[in-house]
Amino acid sequence: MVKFTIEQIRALMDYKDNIRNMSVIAHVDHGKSTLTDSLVAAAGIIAMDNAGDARLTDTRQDEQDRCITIKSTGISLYYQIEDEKLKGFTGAREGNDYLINLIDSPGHVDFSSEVTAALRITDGALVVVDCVEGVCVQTETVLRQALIERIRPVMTVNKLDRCFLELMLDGEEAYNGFRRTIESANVIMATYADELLGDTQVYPEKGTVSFSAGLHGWAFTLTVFADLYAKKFGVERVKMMEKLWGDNFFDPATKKWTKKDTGAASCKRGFVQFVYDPIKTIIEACMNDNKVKLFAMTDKLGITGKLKKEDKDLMGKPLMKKIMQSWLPAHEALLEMMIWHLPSPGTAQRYRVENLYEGPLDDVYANAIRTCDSKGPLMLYVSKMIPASDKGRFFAFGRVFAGTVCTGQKVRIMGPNFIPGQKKDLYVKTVQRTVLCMGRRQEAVEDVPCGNTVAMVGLDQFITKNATLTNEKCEDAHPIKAMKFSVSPVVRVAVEPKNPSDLPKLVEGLKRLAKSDPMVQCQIEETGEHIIAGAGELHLEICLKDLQDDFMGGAEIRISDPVVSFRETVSAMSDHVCMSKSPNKHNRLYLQARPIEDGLAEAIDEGRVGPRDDPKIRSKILAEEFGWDKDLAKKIWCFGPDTTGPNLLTDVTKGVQYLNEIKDSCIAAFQWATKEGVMAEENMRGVVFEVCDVVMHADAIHRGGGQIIPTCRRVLYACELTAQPRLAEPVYLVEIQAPEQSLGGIYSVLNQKRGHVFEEAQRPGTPIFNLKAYLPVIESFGFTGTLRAATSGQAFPQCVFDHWETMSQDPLSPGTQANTILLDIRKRKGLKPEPSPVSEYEDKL
Amino acid sequence: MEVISNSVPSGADSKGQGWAQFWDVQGAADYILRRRFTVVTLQFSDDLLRDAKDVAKAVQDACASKGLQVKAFVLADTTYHSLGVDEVAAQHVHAQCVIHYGRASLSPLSSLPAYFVFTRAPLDCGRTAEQLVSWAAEEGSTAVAGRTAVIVLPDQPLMWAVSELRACLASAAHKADLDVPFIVAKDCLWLWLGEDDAPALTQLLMTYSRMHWAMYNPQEDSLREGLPSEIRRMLRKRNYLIEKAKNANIVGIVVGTLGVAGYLEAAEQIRKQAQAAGKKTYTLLMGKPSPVKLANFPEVDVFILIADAQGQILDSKEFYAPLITPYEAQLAFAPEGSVASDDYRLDFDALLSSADGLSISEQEAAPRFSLVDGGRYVGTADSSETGALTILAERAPHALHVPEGPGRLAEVKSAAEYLVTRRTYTGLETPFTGAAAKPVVIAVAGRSGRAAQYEDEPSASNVK
Repeated sequence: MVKFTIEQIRALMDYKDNIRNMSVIAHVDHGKSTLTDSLVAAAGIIAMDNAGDARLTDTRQDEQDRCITIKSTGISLYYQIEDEKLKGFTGAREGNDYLINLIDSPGHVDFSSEVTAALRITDGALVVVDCVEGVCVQTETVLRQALIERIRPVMTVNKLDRCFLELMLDGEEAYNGFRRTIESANVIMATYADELLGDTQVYPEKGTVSFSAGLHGWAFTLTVFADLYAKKFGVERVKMMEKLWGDNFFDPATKKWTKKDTGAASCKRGFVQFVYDPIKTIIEACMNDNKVKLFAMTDKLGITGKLKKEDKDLMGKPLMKKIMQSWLPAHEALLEMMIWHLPSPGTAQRYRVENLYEGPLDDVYANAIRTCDSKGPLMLYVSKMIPASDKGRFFAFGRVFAGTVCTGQKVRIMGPNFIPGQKKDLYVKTVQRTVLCMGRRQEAVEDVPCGNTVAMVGLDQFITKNATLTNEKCEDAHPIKAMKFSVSPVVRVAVEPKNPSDLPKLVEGLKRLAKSDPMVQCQIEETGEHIIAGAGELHLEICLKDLQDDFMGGAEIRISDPVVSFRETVSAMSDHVCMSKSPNKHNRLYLQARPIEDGLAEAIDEGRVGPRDDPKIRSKILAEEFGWDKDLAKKIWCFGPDTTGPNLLTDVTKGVQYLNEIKDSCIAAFQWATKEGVMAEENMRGVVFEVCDVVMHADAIHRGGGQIIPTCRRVLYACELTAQPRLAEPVYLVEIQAPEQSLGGIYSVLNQKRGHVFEEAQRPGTPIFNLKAYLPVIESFGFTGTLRAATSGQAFPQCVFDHWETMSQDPLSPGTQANTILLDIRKRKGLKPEPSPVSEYEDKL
Repeated sequence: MEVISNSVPSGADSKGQGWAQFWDVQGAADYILRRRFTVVTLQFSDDLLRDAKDVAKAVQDACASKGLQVKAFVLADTTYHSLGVDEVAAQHVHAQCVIHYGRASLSPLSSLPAYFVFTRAPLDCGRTAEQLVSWAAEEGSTAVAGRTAVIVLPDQPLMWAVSELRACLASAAHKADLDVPFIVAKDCLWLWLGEDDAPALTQLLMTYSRMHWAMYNPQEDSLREGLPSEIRRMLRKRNYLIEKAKNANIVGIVVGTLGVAGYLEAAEQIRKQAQAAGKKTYTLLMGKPSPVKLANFPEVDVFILIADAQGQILDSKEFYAPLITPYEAQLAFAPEGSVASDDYRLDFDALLSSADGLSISEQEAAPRFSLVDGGRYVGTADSSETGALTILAERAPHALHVPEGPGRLAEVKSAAEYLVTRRTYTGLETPFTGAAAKPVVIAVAGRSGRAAQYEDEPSASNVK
């Protein structure tokens, strides 16, 4: 059944102009996997009949059961394009054989990290949008991610069958729907436009938008129809395509094109006249079993010959599927669109290199990436680990950006914590085998040249989640930049083995789990609890299932209720300057705390302001955007916690001698205090501490770290307590799509859960409403279920972490909800029930 | 502790039989007489100190009455902790033995003989026996069921009553028709008799956390069952500290005892293991380690406290770097799986017994998965890296451009490296350190007065 051999594919890998690496991205349930199936069917891996049903790229049982994609899966396709179809194609190519490395990615927001991992190793993206639901929140997220990675998008408007069968739209309505969908996608693309990438907007008349019905395995771009009519009208294909979209009307009676609807009954928009209506007619003929009319048309289109005898006996939907597949096969339209409009690795790496490479952009490695040189030094980025069939082992899956990787080669593995010039997180190991991913199967190959995706055996012990591989001798190579995820692991549970002696098994299981998912975090907390953190409830559920079933050898675990981490912040300036004395009473530190300026904490999170900035640039940003005093901006001692967090320690003292001498001690104390705040030992967020004055003992021996560190920590705590401390909670942005009648239910559920709607919009031309709301993460557990119950299953929410919201209640005054939360956290951490009063931390003169 | 001091008939007037018994004057005197010691030290814990003078007098008198003149020195405010015998202080006065009063950790000593007086807490043996037996027969029956015996572990101040208690328990059990004997055997219920906050109890609970526990406090007449949740939590916390120690590069070995037998060997053993695990060690001798003292070594990632079992600091929350026990250090530094981690230990006997078993495995160094900070791989130290110091020397001149990516700090492997890469302060700003010469200024009068309040500061009346 397989139409091609591994040898053929391997041969193609050397022709870098004939390779397309692309990911399929979309909102959940817009039909990525189904559409992918029809492409795979064309490559002959699955039977054409099953196209749309098999979901070949959903390799896991739970993916099949739940009908959602959880892991991104790679598959390599081989496509032979006809010469005629390439007429006018100006890009470089060698022959007509193309290799398409395709990665199907999940659409649920909880698995966004998989999308990120997929995008990194591809150059183009097929954005799938449901023609009825339009551009949704996840469409926007993944599209933004793609553009930031400099991935060129093409788009397909999917589920066209719904227009014909379900909604029975007439041509003009359908056209307007499509146009709106494409426009809203283009708005996003324009927002994140990138100079080097050029115009990324998509246009049907240029062939960068296709229309598809994944379930039935058919799709078309305007090119297909333009070819059909170009001969008839005797115009160029390009001209014809322009006529088929936009405000171009044709009146068959007058045989004239106009820019406006003339009002004549026979005058119709080009798209409707020549594209939509013919399809509609055929579908209707199929569904009504009007075979005479149908076969007359198929004769005309020249597809009767492609039908087998038994196909003609089919009725209704199966007949329609068969006819449409023969007429407008999805793989042809989509693969041609990719070949035409997505860049080859050689083209893409030229502009992607500066996004990818961490080192100097003129060194030999950067040049090898830029030119996609298979003879150059190896540069390979491992973007994720794929569980292998033997339990506990993993394939390292990634993309060769330069050079060639082969079986038995010794490679240098640079992990995420590698620092050039040091030996940390650096290993030299042998690649045992290089394999190609073919959905559920893997095929061994001798070597893989640059521009391709590859999976490798034998490196899993040395790679946690991702890494850069180079040749053994390339000691001056810098790694490829780490991926940035759009979601953060905010939902956490503690796990413990039911039987305490299974603890080693749990640790081993966590290690494997950490590998298997790009996002999940497994760690041990100070309390000794083992914590698993994921992006959302669904993500965690899958992780826990994997942990228990696959990674722990069946040992049972006990799972705690979800735990949300909070942040400690302040809401006002300290009501007085706090002072603490060192244990020897010889040193005094005077500090105060104040809330950080709006937006600055976020700027620090994003890395726009950070400890490694040039102080001049930093103080410019701080002065211009956040109204800081220029001099003060230069006196930031450090960021914290972990030296990069969104809290600041600044020096506002005047003429204090020896201040530099205690600076290191103060910084140490600041890192410590911001990591474990005074109220509940949660991280602090958005607090600026100002060192106002310092009195020190004249002898250096009496102002050592031992005296200063504990004192500074105490005074920082006193500052926090006197500055109206508050808790900040993580908040989800929830996007809900639902029909009008279920809005009431949604609002009441949201109210009950402390959420609020801030945007409500009706999707033009449909009864569907789009709601955007903020929902505290702590209230989100079971939200999906409650919402479905309240709306009889019609509302489907997508939650993604959005921001930290300061809770207005004082967590230190008993009876408030914030106080309850505070006490709960303290109880869970085994701290004494009440936080200590400020007098514990502050001294009197 | 209050209970004990309340029970001490204080003041010279009420000295009598009970007083002498409480302090075991006769026993101590006999001990001295038998060995003909002439210089003895009496070590008191802080709460017992107020009777020190009388006790010393009584012991001297008791000896004198038998014709032995004894010089007695009172030791207080011990260097390490009051549960351990302070041999060093005793040696300062050339004492021949130490009489230790109060609870003791009973760790084996290295040089001096010692006599322990636990003092006496009151115990109503008959009532206690009845209470325990009736508990075992009624609400505690589920805990007792299936056990072959109940082991009663009396606290040290109750030791005096052991034989009487044993008899009472036997008769009470007989009366109640309870067929579970209160004796020593495997698979038993362990019953603690004494105060809930006794350090010995913590040690026992942590060491034998897998046993079935019950605790009876005769003073408060309260009985608890099962392992207290604090202990469970504490044991879990230790796991985190072990993980943390695995990641440490610089290890401080804090010697917190000079008395316990084998401390030197233990320190040496830990040093070897740490080095085998690629960690740099520094050994510190420190009496009563405190956050303030240890924070003077900010470069150290984890401290290992070598002290006797009950002198361990188990809550190192306030410390800048955590303190762990020698046993935990052994778990952290030994190659994974080479140390049986079944039973938790607070002493370092196991460390000594494993001394010869130490072998640096030659297997390929695979990176270790660390669960601290988000789960990542931590490379095992490159033991072939002989010239760590030369590397440092090479790097020091280029200290200004030590490569640091965003959010990463260069890892430091030794204190010297820490000084070069982490400390921003490198000394006073003198021309010697590269700063411009400062202009000469005439000295001005500084502050005067005491540190608690200098003279130019507002007077105490303004302050609460």
